[in-house]
Amino acid sequence: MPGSTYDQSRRRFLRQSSLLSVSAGITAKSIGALSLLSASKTIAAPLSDYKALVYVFLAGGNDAFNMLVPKGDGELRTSYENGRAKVALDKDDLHDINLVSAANVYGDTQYEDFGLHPECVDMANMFNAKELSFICNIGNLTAPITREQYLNKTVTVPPQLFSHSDQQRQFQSSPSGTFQFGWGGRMVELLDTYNTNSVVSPLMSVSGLNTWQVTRDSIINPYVMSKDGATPLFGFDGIRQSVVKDAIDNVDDNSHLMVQKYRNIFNSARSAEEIVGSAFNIAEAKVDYDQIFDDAGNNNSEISRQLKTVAKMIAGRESTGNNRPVYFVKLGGFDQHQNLLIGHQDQMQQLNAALKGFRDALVAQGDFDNALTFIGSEFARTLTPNDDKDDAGTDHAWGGHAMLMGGMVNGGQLFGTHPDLKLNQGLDVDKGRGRWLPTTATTQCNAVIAHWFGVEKENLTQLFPSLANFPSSFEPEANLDLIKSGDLV
Amino acid sequence: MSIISRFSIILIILGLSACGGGGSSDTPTPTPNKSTISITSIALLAIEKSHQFAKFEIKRTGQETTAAIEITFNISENSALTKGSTSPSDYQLIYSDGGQVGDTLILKNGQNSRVIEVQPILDELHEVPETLVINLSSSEKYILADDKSAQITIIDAENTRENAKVFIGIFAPQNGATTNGTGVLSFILQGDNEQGLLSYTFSNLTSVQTDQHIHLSPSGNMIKDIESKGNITNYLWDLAPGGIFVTEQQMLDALFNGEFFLNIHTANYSGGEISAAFIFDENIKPPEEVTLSENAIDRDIIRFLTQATFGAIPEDYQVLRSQITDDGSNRLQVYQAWIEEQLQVEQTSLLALTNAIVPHFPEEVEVDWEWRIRRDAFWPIAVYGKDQLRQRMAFALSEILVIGDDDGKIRDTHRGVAQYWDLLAENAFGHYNEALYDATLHPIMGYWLSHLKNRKENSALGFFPDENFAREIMQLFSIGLVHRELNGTIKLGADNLPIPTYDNETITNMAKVFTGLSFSHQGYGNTKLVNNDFDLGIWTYGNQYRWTEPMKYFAEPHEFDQKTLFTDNGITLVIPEMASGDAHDAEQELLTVINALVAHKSAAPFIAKQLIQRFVTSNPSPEYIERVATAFGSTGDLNATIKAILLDNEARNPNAANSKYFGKIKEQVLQMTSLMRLFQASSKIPLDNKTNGLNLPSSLTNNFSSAVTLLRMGDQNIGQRVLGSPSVFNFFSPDYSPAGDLAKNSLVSPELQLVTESQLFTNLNTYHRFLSGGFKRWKVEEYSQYTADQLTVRFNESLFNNLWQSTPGSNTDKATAMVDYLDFYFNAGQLKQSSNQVIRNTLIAGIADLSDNERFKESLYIFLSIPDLAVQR
Repeated sequence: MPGSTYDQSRRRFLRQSSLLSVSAGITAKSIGALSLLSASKTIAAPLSDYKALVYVFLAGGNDAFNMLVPKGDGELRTSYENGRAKVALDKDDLHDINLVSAANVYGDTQYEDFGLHPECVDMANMFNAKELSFICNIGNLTAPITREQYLNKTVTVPPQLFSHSDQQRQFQSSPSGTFQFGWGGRMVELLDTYNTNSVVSPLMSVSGLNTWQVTRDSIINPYVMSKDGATPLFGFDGIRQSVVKDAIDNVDDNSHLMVQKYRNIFNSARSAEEIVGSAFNIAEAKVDYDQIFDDAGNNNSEISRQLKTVAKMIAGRESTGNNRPVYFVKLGGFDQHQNLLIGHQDQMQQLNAALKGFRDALVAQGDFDNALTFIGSEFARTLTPNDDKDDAGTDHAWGGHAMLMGGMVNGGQLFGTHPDLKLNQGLDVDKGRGRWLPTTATTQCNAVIAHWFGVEKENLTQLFPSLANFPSSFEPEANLDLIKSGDLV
Repeated sequence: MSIISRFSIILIILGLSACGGGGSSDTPTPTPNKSTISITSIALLAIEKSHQFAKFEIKRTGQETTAAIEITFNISENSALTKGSTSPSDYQLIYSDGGQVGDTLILKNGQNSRVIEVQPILDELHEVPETLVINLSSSEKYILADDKSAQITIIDAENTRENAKVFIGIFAPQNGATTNGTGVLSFILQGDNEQGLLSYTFSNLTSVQTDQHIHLSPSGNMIKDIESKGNITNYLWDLAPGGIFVTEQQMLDALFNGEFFLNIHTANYSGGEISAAFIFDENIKPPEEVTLSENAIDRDIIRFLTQATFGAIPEDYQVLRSQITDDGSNRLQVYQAWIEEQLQVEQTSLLALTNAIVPHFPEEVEVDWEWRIRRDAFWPIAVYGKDQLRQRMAFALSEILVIGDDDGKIRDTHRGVAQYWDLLAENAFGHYNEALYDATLHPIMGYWLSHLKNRKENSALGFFPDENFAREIMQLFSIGLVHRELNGTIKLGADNLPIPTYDNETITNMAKVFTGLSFSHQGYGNTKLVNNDFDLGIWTYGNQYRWTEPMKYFAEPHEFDQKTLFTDNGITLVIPEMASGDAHDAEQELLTVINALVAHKSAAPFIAKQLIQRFVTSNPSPEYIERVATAFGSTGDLNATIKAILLDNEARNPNAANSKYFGKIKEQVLQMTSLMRLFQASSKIPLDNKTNGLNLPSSLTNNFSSAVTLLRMGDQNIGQRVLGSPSVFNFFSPDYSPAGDLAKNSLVSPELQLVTESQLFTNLNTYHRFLSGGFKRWKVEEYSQYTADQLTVRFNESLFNNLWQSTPGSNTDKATAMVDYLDFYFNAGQLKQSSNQVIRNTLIAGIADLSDNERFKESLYIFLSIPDLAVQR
């Protein structure tokens, strides 16, 4: 087994197999040596120019066309109702949103009458207070494409469209077959000068390992904590502690590679325990998080707990030494192949309450202008249901809606281009199921966010190689004026 | 395992007649003056190379005189005409007490018996085993006993690795065929030339293989047909005469003359696309066989048990140890025998156990918590069940054919879930295509991946068949995303990119296959009735018959249109349209599709690799994958597969102990069960009729070891729960490669995906609690007649303490025994045999200092938390 020829073939095998991350949002590779940040410094230098990016991933394919819904009597509403059939939402149940300017609709028309899902009352309020915006019909795309080009296969599309694992991976990295890094991880590498006083990883996750935070060089590794914060180790004292620590310290370069990795994780967990603890203390001294999230409607959902922890880490940032941290949050359960109406209602309730709680917490901390929250999903779902029964569901589709929330966001707008929702024509790729060719590439939107976060415009193609295939996100044509001017860098 | 490498002398004589007659004929009555003469073979084998003699013995009985006597004899040939016979130049007959045998056999004056040696003459010839038969002739001077004829065999050399002869062949285009097909061949002929092992691999043919033979050159005359297609490993060829040859010696001569070649016939080249000649190379020796020291044997037994059961325990170790020879040379046979035994052990049913326990917890039933009982019922089976290997396979299959009972509806359908597990266990040693068929039709799977009550397209109403299952059955359950070679490597297309096995068109068509399925039965009270309502609701009350019986096809909602499905080796599976199909037709369609999926060239490597990963190692070599995939074959022979996995040299190689990457991180369920097995975790509630026992029927309790108790463990947070995956992608991906050195070396470690900082500490906290006070499901006593104390699962600390007490010497000596014991059973003695003893010494020093009442707890916690024990090698 050992020997260079074998290694070569193994490496080649893995590079190809990195297409094949079979689990939701899970990393597949990185190169280079690992280094672990010790806990010797617990107080870092004072932070300036702080920005945090919170990446909320809705896993499974959020049925975005029942989250943001056309109202009124226009053609868009009619197309919506025709397509959605049994799973259409009544326009009277929706929460009105007031657009700063009419939305662009595919086919060069405009539309102004929209509402949000019945559970999204707070999101609608935030939209109307210009704290939140949507980016319409966004999805994984390697180059702009028309329906004809798609059907005739004259333009390349990302591989394995409609496969969760592939689309999640591409959404969080880039729409290509060969995986190199997640854009969050790579972005933090590019901005490492902001994090020179780091005592814990600026890549933090409250929802497990994920593709988004995979770095290219593997020098920084994500720190994964539970949704409620760092997990303390119980009863770790006395002989137990000294022997285990000794055993850990005696793992060396000759040890089994998996043993070494396990040791790294153990050490990382130990040092981060202290740091997170002190961050929480700082945060909780100023704000009553449980009260805020309770008032928002749900203190205990998975996603509320995650966002609560993120809020505290942002508030208690002194103890981390990170000026530009990124946080990964995930809510699953969106793959509603059946029972869309009931299932999605549940999801929207949780999302709404969590975003409301998070927003209020950030405001209470004074961080609403520092922390940008992105909410997206790997794809949307077919406009048409797969059944005519009450428990109908919808299937995997493509272009969907993402959201941005924060003080720096140009709120109250529908960016990008909204599909015309007409089946079997225009943007619909697939025999009338209502799967839309994205009119905005994920990378175009990500580029604006990355630029706000600190990446120079000329470096954006390092992060998003296929960006060059699209019109510039910073020109009016793209309709992606997401961030208030004066807040960019 | 190579036949060649055995050191023992094998009696390879075919048709060897038993020495000593059956006694069915009359014994001649001795007449006063005549002796009765007999001849027997007392050493059957003569070996040229080592100059070993065969021996005959002539005897006389019943004589009045012991005067010298001459016995006439003749030599005859092997009665089997194809086999070899000696010629006079092969040997000399010499009396052991001196002198060459002449025309007669002579018993000297006073001798009643005499030994005649057959001394082989070493020559340069390659000879098949040759039989020499001596027949005594009748004479007036004596009477012949029944034993009047005896035979021995002369062979060129013993069957040792040294004496094996290796023939090598390189595949090249045959007769100017235009092909890039290549490959290599080897034939390892054993020392006595009786038979040998043929192996070959080849690739890059222009078209599909149709046949394969050994031929004579240059005529092309076919000498031997080979049955199996594809690459061959260690195929036994006995050189039986074929083609124009009538004897094995002729075959042997032709072989050594380089007159044989093996060729692969293909669709494009019916006469043979590539061929390889067998060329003898005396410089090549077959691969080394590793001999094991006693400690190495011990460690290998534990490694085997760790791979094949839910945790190594002394009882299982001792049974295996007692059967294995001191040099370990028969260990593979012993392991194989263990596997064969396990194949016969009756399956323990999760459903039966659950159903048997439920009546004892009526308070839980009242609040619809039977699912808690089902989840807990896994533990007695894993920890005390006798059918360990079967249950391990069920576990492995459950991580490929995934369902998850986190979902409320599935959780509540606890009988369906239990029955799903039982189905996997039933198929554990059968065929994967049957397992896949069963899983496809299981209503739980139908609900989980939404093909239950999936209807054909109705474009007027705007709905289309659900594509969920269609995608996952290809992506996860059979062929994977891209085409692979048999050894698991990914095929590249002309554009140097991997080749997807399917596209969205395929999925849309596949979805049609899974339309029209719904419940086949429902319950009415306690009666199970046939269901004919396609739209029957998904209720979970009562006996849950709708969930424990396979789904069936309803004709009306099934799509009978033509379906163009996936492609394998250039051939696309197309299901023809059926104008008026019925449910039976739909079922046939499903059978065709399932069989085709599992027979797809990419299925065997895709599934085989994952099975290797669940039992042995995360990073099997391509050759290991290929051997297992070959055993898996086109139907997914799981019986052959599990043997191929566990008995393979890569799994059994003792060098694993020194490897930096062989093996895998122990998944948490197995870490937990191994701990519970070694320390006999139990509650105070036996399953049988012991005190406080549940008194379950013996038909059930007989499937367990006698120590079995109820184990209401609860859903302890260790990051993993059987049948509890959050998604169809299981708890970890087969391709997960953690950042750092593992990724740098292109190695995967799927189980590490579960080991994040938070989960690692959560796991340790869980063990801390278990060791401190035991486990039980939270508040289970409030819904039960039993007390918390009775229900709590605790370790049998006395097993540990007894070992401590009984070890003589200082605390350091005792600690050493403890450390070595835990290291042995949890870790196959990895710490003890390591060249770096620092960690072991640290553990010994630490444990020696512990006080009596904390010793067990602390020692176990330490062992569960140090990195070295996280890996199974």
